[in-house]
Amino acid sequence: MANYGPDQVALLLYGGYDLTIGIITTLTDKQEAILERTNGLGAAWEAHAYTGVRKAEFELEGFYDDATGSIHEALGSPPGSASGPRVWCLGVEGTATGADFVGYTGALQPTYERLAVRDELTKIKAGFKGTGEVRQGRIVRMLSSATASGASTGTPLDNSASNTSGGVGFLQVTDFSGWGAGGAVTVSLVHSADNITYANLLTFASATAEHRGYSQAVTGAIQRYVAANWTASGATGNIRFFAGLART
Amino acid sequence: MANYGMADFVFQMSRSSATAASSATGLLPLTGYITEIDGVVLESILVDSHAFGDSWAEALYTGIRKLNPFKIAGFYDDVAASGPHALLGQATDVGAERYFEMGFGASDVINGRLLVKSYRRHAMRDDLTRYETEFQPTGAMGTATNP
Repeated sequence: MANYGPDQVALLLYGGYDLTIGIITTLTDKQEAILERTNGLGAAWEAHAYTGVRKAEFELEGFYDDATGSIHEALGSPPGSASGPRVWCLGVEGTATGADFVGYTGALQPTYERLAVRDELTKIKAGFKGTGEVRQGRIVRMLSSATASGASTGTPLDNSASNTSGGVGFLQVTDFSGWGAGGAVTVSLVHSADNITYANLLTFASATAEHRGYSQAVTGAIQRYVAANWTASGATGNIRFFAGLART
Repeated sequence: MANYGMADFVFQMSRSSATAASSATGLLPLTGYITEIDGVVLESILVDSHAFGDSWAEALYTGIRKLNPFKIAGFYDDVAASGPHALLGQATDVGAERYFEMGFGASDVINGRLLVKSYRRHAMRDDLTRYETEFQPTGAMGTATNP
């Protein structure tokens, strides 16, 4: 049995922004099924049925912070910004490879409030609605920096078994700098049945800037072991990224 | 006459979509993971039946009963196979149908089918992460002795 406390909420990535840079004090993640009443004439008890559609929403509260890359820069654009839905990854179970996280393939931010109160620091409150799939996944590579091509095959995600129904990969790039003109980093998820020979599972769109989130679906078999692989082109630079996988 | 408290409360549900105890693939107890449950209300649907000339409201039973939606909540726990997150928090659990039994004392058990309407996780400063699930009962409810 494992309970978790506030110190283990270490994964809050929204469109490539690391919201743990700021001070978040409360977060709520909710998924809901849309139901419809189905009892008709002659029935003595109310009955309901699942319509086949789920919805997801997310809220967070914290201290207003206008530092570079912090909460206001990430969330302060007017709600309904033309930038469209962003990939959300959040986790309440720590940062270890294999820890659970929730991945929204797209989230829109309809509300952003700033709350200024006498005798208190200014606070913020933001609400998000999922658009598209929300998946339960596991961390493949926790948010960390890399300055050259590499792979996490030395510490892969071990699922104990393979699955045959595919899944969705998530990538969040919070920092990208110094790679020179035209520089890019291509991140892939690779898989293996024996943790010796790895093959490509899926490839994300090449990262060419910071503050980007990506999700990529894959069909078919996913082997037991999964790791991240990244290939840099251009001059040496720095990329800080997170990769996760949600199996179906 | 006997009173009962939290030590007597029992809540268990099926892992699979079962419609009765006899077909449930093992009822799993959730009692130890619940710290709050809001009111469990059995209700009849009534309609006003007073007419012109009446000076007092009157009502009639429509013949329909229901168990109102209810919520359980507790500490978020990811224990495999039997904890609240394993039973209620996977993507396919929300919207799924389950069989449940809920007992408040020696001979007061309500059972039936419900749909998992929502699953919510709540992390906050100075507290453990918590979960909350809302259930939508559906169809006939039964009563029995303590499970």
